[in-house]
Amino acid sequence: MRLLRSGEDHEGETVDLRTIAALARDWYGDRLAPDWRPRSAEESQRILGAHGLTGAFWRLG
Amino acid sequence: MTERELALRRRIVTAFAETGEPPELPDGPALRSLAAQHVVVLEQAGGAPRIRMAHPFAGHREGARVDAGVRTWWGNCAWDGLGIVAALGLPAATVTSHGVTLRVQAGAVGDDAVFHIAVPARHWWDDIAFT
Repeated sequence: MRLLRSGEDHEGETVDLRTIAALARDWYGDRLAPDWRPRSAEESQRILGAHGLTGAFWRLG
Repeated sequence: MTERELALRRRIVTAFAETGEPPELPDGPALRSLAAQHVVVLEQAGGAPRIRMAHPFAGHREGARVDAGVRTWWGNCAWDGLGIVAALGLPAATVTSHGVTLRVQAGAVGDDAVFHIAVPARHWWDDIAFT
């Protein structure tokens, strides 16, 4: 996973930074919370979907 | 995840948050269990395990650097760098990865770069260092 300037050649998927920043908040925002508990795969999949990251490429399992 | 494992994981991420570095921990079943559950990624360092990743934090320097004021943390990629900004509640920071520096202000990123994911999600943990 890495940053690219728009227009660079690549294989795989690209996501705009607004989406990645919002996803990062939902994915990692609670990692220092005292009551943190591991998420299920289904919960993680829901977070990806909530940011429009759906389809076979984004399927976790 | 057992209460003991949760406490160990809490100690690990707190150390990363406070120092930017992984804590030095003795090897043991709780640490190995966290690795088996993908909560941490370990590497061997002189016969003892060292924490290479405790997402979003990184013990290595190959991913993303997060700077805020005089403080620095490291993430495994730009996604993780932005995750560190969120987890720490940083009002302003920069995230630098692969030669691109993003300025983050109140959670917003002003840059036209894109984030590239080469590996499909179901294979992320096949080789997490490559992912």
